[in-house]
Amino acid sequence: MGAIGQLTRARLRHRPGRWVLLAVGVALALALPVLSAATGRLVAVQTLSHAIEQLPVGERTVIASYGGTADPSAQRHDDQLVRTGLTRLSARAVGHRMLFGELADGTGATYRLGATDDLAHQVRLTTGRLPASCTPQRCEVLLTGATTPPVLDPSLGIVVVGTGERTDPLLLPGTFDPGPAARVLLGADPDALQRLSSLEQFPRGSGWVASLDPERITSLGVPAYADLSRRVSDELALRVRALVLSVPDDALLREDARATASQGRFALLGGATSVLVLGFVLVAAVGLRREHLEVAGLLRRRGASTRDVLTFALLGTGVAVVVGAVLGAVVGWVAAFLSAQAEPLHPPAIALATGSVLDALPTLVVLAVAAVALTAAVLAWPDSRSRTAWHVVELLAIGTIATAVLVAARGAVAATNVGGDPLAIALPVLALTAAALVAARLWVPVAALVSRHLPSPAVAARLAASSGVRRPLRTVVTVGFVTAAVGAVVFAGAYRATLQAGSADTAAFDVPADARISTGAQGTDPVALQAQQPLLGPAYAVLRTVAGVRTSATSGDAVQVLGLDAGALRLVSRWDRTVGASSPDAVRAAIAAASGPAGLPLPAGAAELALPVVSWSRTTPGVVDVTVWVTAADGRERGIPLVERDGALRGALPDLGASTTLTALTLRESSADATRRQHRLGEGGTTSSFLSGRLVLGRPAGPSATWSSWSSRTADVAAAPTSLTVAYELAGPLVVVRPGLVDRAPVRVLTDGETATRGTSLRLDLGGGDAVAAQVVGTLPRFPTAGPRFLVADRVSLAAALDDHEPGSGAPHEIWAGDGTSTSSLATVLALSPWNQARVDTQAESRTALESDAVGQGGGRLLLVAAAIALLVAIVSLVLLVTGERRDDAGQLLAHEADGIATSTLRRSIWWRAVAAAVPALIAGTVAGLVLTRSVSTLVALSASGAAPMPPLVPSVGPGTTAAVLLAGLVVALTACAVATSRMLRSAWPSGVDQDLR
Amino acid sequence: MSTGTQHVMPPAVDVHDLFFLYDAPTGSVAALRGLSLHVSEGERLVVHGPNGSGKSTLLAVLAAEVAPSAGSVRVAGVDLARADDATRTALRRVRLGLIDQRARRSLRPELDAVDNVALQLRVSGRHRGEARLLAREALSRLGLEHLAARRPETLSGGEAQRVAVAAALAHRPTVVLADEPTGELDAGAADLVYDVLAAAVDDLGATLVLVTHDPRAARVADRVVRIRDGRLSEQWDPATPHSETLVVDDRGWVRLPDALRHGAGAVTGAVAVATADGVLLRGTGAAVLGDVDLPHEPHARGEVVASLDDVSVDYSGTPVLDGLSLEVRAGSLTVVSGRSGSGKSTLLRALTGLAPVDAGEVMLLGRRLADLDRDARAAVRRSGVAVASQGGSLVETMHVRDNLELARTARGLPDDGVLVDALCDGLGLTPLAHRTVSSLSGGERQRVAVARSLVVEPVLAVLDEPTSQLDEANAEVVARTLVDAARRGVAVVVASHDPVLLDTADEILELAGT
Repeated sequence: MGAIGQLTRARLRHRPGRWVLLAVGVALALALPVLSAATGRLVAVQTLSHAIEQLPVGERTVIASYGGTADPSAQRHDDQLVRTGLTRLSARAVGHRMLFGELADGTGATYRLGATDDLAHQVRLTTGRLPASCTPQRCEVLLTGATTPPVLDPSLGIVVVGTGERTDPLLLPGTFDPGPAARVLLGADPDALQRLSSLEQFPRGSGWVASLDPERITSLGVPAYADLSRRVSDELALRVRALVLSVPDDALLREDARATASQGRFALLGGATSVLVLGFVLVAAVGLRREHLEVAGLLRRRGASTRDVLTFALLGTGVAVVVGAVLGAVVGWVAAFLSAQAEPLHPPAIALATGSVLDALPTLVVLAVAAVALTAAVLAWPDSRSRTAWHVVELLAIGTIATAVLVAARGAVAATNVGGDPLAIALPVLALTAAALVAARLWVPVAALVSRHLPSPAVAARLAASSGVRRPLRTVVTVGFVTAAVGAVVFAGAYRATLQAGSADTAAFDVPADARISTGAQGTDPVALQAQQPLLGPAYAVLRTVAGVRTSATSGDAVQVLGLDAGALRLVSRWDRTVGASSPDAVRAAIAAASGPAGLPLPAGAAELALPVVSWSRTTPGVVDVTVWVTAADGRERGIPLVERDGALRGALPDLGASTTLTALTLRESSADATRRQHRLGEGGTTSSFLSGRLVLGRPAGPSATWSSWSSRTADVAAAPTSLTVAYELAGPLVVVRPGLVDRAPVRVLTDGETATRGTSLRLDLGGGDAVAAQVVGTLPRFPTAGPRFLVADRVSLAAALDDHEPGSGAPHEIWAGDGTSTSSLATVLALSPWNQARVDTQAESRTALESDAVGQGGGRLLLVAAAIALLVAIVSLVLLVTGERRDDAGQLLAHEADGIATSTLRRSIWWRAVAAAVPALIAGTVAGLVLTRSVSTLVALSASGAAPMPPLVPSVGPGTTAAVLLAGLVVALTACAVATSRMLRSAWPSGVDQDLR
Repeated sequence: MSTGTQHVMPPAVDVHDLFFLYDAPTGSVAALRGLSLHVSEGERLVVHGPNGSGKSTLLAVLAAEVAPSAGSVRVAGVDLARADDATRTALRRVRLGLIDQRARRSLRPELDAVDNVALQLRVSGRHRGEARLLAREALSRLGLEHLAARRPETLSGGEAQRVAVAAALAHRPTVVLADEPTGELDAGAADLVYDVLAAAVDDLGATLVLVTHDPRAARVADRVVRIRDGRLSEQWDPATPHSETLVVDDRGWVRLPDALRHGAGAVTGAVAVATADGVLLRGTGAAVLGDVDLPHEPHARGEVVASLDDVSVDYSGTPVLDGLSLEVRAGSLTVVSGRSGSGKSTLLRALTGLAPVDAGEVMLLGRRLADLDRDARAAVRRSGVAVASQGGSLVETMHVRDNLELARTARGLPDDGVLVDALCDGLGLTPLAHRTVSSLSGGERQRVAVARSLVVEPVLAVLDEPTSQLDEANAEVVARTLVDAARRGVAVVVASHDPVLLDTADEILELAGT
């Protein structure tokens, strides 16, 4: 061992360059797992920050509050206990809050009275002064949220001493939030305010508040933090009666799950780097093999045992690999540290970098050990066993392919389980290794075949092929490695492009057109806005409702039902991805229905509707509310209550534009009669009967008005062109009379595969016993904005069917808008009034949000770094190939030169060896990378932002970028090889090969 | 204390009926074919033999580097046929001293001379200080202490080989195995090595088995043996003139020298008759070489196609060629002979413009090589010189015939199927014509290389040891082909000490070395 150690040290010192190269290569590749871990940690921080930002301001807190009115004296006793508990969850200051229930002043206006113990730092004084005292009889307060103080009863003992503005958003958060428009009187001492004798019995809430502490959450990790909050909650609940702890754990856990899922992708990348590490080490080991065999031979002749020789093989490379691993960890640490420092959120850089190294430590150790073992195997493998080596390669290739196939056969891995699935993480390793082995194994026979068919004048190429076949080890290893590296580059590029395309697909799925406008928080109907102020580009109303589809006699599934016009269908972008089958026109044709009887056209500009009452005999006394429903061309529906006056039922017509039609007539028991009847029934009356009667209406005004097709399911209707007779009994909620109602054909729908299994005729439950008949005419893989269970129908048909049960329910409240010229101009318009009163989602914003997601960006960066490193080491390995070939093939080259072959031809033949390795590796690697991308995209259900992708990811090669990068890499590599070979064989005389003194 | 019985010292090396087969693409090849050899303790044995005769294989077997295929081998008391790996390793570590032809294989550039000499001691488990001390003593005993701190790359060839000798003997082995230890040395350096080796072996009382082509090695030998075709064929006592005898092995095999066979008109058979003086062997049947018309008479020669004029070459100050002049004429077969290290390959390289000369002038195909750059010299060769080096320039993936056609194509010559057929036929390659070179044995490749050198219709064909891996019959085939080429007007220069080629030479240049 002493001799081996001494010789190893001497070798390392003698020509350190190659060892340094090996160590640097290993370091470069092993830095990537650390970077992967760092990216994962940074993304987790960013995701957490994003999650906290997304919370309403008042929920960015940890709040311990009493479920009911607590005894103030008990609160004093609990104070220290609760503060201690909250301190475990947040290092931020813990404040005490209390808020009385809503009070009314002498004018009837309402206000809130509360207190906070750090008032001076939470408000900005605008007039007067801050409260200074608070006794049970008199308590000074500050007015916020208004400048006019409430008119207070002096007996309350509340004295307003100033006004101010809230500067701290967490002044009264969460359960203490009085609402944005509330007038609030704030005291400076919650304890004292609670003892105000005048409000002694008045309900109140009180508790303690601390801001969420991202650093604490980050340092603990969200799951551990959630667990801690649960334990703190339990402990407090046990010791403090009725105390409730509120922490936004669910939101944090949800985002953390997303970030954790993304860690799986980073692990995928980290796994792929292992191939690079081992491949590069293999290349380096082959380069060292010749000399090692010389030394090993000498050692054997000197009596060294097999174990000594193996130790010798392990020691030298072991030192280089270990140094490389340490260097890689240091490089990774530095990169992680710098990344953390550059991060605007300023996570603890040292802790993050150190944690990243620790995360990657198992990977580093495993790879380092594997690298040393691999090197030792390459160095110690006897020449006489070359045939066995090929068998090993074949077995490994078969094994890895079989394993990869088995992994693929298991099916997709859920987004939440990617990080914990070792096989999913191993997939890139398996695929790239298999590709490398197959390429390496096939290179010799293919090269031999090609060399036999090269044209005779191609002397340099023939010599290159011949040399490679004669001594294939270095070339074969290089081919394998470059294949894996190219595969990694293609995978990185294609997977990145796939994820980017997936983001675009997801954005298009969420917002199919350039913009999707729906009813806002204030109830503003976008369809009405469109009627008032039409958008310049195409805009189509979309009818959306939810229905139940029976799965059994007693249960059903909720299905989202979309009613779409042809125009809306055509606005759906990325149809092939978001819908995944058919085409807008085909869908339109499938769901189109023969137009049913139209309503009665109303005269343009008419302000009043008058339906002549020919007769109205009421069998049962009572008031019947008659309502007519008019429908605009854009689908808007309005109900118009009619009043009988002057022999006609009359009502004011809204301005719904031209082509407005009368589409329904409803009769309903008046609310007053319904109430009276309910009372009679409640008092045990049995004589209460339903309202009934017979209403005969004449023809309304208008040249083409006719009642001919009108009918009802709940009343006897006799329709003639000029009269409509309705014999009714109001046993149900209302009687609906509509054109074509009775003969309405089932709505033609396209649906998802699962729903389609329920049969071609569906009953869509609308609630309240109402149902719509639907006929399934086909299936679609999915449909934008709809969930997994959906129905797509023609809007008009769907609206008609819905209105048959309840007029007005077929009105759309959503618009899909496109802008053929510029989506930015559309976005600009939609950001202004009146559109800003509606909820506006634009596809561009959605896509931007997805693409700027921390998880997606982190993954993208990592993919780029991985690709760059893979490309770099591939180029280096090709240069090493030509320099090594020149060295090892010196004798053959001299023989060729002796044969009269010019040195320029020999230089070209060396360069051709790089070509002979690079081109097949480029092809094999590209194929492997694309297959891997496809497999990962299919098997790893994870979008760029770490969520389950919808629509599913579709492998994308990218817009030529990957190909350009690969070609550029090839050009750079071959140029570098050309530069290296151009310096060869330039001496005046051939170098003596094994030149001796004979 | 006497035991009452005479103690018989076992031989240090005892080889009986040794066979060694190695795998070749075409099957197993026998390098040793029933060789028997006994070397006594303290005996110094020199082993001669032509290339490919099995000398180095014998040494590898004795060094326990390869296992014998059959037969028994005992070295320093160890039965190598039955020894396990640990025993063989221990044998090498403790009892054997191995000296390689090339010092660079024995000395590591990472270590200075002392550490190189101490390496085997260190492998044996000695502490570094002790090992270095013993190494210094070993160097001192050989008069090499002044080289102790030197790195191998700073040593001359002779110095390096002497240090290698010290490295092989520092652990005081009982058997020393040396494979061409002077093969890379000039005569003076070789003498120094022989002296050092003899002194060291004497000092240790060790047994020496020295494989070499160099006849001068006999001066340090107690006995000289020659190996041919994997068996001992002759042996003699160098101290006794004309003592060479044929070896009759345990099974009665005896190999007749070629001259004897040819002189006896022999033969495919012989009648052996016991006489009072011994055994009389009378040849019968057809002459072995009856179909080979090897020329022995001088014939007309053509013009000078290449020449060396007062050429001197030295490496690192050591002269290899000193004022050598040579004219190579069209239609002649010139054999450059000499022991290893005498400068044969250097001469061929200088003649073909592959190595510079330090003095003198080299003319090749009418061009003065000193005036030409590297590619221009290659162009001259391409125009009419064929070089068949030992390394070979065959395209492994191609068929034999394609290789020959490629050689013509590479020189811009048109296809000539007739010539290709004739060469294949003449060299016995016709059955191999459509096999890839990678599937051929070493000897078959050598014949293909000869064909390749002639298929380009050279003015001058230069061949380096073209029969080194051939048995005698195939060597004769090659010789006949080269003679035929010479008769067609090709100037043929061959570096070889194969008697078959020497017998056919129009001119022999014996390099004695300097």
